[in-house]
Amino acid sequence: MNIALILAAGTGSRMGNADKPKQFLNVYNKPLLVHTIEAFEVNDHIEKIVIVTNKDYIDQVKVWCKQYDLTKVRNVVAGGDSRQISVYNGLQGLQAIGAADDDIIVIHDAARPLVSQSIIDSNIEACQKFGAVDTVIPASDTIIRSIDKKQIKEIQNRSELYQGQTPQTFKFSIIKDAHEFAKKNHDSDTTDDCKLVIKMGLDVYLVEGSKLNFKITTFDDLMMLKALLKLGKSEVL
Amino acid sequence: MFVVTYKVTSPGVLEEFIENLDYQDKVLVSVQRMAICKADIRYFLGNREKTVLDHKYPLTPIHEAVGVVVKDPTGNFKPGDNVILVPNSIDQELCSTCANQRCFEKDLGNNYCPYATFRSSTSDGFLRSYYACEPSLLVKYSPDVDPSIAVFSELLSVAFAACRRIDFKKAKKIALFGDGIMAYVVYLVIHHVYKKALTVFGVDDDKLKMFKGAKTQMFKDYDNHPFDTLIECVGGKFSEVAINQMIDASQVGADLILMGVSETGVSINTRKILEKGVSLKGVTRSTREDFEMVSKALNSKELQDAIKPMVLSLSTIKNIHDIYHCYESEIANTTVIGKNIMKF
Repeated sequence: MNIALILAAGTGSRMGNADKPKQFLNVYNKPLLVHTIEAFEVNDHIEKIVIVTNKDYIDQVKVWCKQYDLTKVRNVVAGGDSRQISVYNGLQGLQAIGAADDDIIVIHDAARPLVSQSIIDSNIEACQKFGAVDTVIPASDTIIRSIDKKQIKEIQNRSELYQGQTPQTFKFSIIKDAHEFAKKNHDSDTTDDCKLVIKMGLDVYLVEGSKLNFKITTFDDLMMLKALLKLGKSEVL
Repeated sequence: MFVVTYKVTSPGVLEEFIENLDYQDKVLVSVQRMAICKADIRYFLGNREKTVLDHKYPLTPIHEAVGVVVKDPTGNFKPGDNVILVPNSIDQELCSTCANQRCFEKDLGNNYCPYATFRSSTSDGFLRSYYACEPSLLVKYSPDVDPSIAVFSELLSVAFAACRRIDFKKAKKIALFGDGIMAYVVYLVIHHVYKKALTVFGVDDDKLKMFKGAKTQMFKDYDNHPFDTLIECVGGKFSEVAINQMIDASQVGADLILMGVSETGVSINTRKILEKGVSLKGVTRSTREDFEMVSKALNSKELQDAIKPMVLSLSTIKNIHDIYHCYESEIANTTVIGKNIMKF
């Protein structure tokens, strides 16, 4: 079984003075989170969805699921203080709905509403083969490493660099073990699930993402999303 | 939800767009198969008058498509139902104000509704991963039919529309002019559905071999036994030759059914039309009822087998380059009857 785990527990601290986290902001009269869930709701290969969200929004998310007929959502659980804790709570939520070790868990940021069906499908297909995969796009800009924020420490070979996106997709047993392993080692603030799996000594394979699958982090990102949608609205006479 | 669509924005240029698809109170369909039509190629290449094109662009192409129902709040379909996407929309509320008042005649149907919109021509088409519409714009088809075969439904529906103009009780000698894909589809309906004998006139021996069970010949071999029903599926600049040959091969009082699109005027022998008292009937597009007939006809294994050779390839669209490749294949194909089918 393929289950989507949507992470919507962010605080949206980089969205300036918005009165709510970015994943709950309305775009075309619908919360961004709902647009993202819909991408998984309509996917043929996803059977269930679990949502991790801010404690205060759990009831609201359940209302939206009903209002927008999101029938695949089986559990809405509270997130934690870090992404890692939120994913861990999500894994508990998956356990609660009876997820099996062989199930494929597609972990996705609620703030990436433009995830395409082909990215979701490629994640599932690659995970069936490799057990752990990450969605990436080749780095188009030169990546500069600086430690003191003043001087360049290192410039790595760009052809070896990629930008990580989501979904990140794992066999349930692998991601569960990775989180338990991290917990045992008091590693509690890793922002990336693939890193946890690699720390356990397992390989993670790459799946091709898309520039359009960008994350709505700042107001500029939100403006870019709205601009893209406005272009799409141009109709024939 | 946000969906990707592709639009022709100027001659030879396709662009990717993101649209908000509002499917409240509509049927949400995942588009499974799409086929490129000659009209799509004309818009893609810009082979229309500039003023027409200026009004059309940007335009999402494709009006031949089938899909699977994802959600239906209207309760007409179940998730997983296979559906043919009907490209013609009629606003029946305007019927009482229409000067034509001909849509209710069975042979004409509502093909000629002045308020009708047609996908990939006067409204955006189906080149998109998801589509939402009223239930009346979908026709269910059997899960036993391969979607790559069902995607020919729109073409077949036009053939059924042409057959609405034929009085099969009176039609004793039927001739079909053309050896392209439209001619082949009309042959499929007359031969495999109506089970009528017909003679096909063409110019390409290899293509004519596909019309199995029909008498096929070059016009130079015409044996002077005239026909009572003659169907033109040539179009373009050669329709002039074809129509004049049809007039020559007509019995007195014959029906000439014209289906080919020609962008410029054609010169035809009106003296002979007068002498023979033949009637010219124009056919374009089709109605929902034609699609329903197609859906029923597709259950025939014999018809499915006869459609199969038209599936030249099946390409998965992962990005805009894949669509360009399909267009290039379609534009390049002048020798084989069939289409390069697309899926997401």
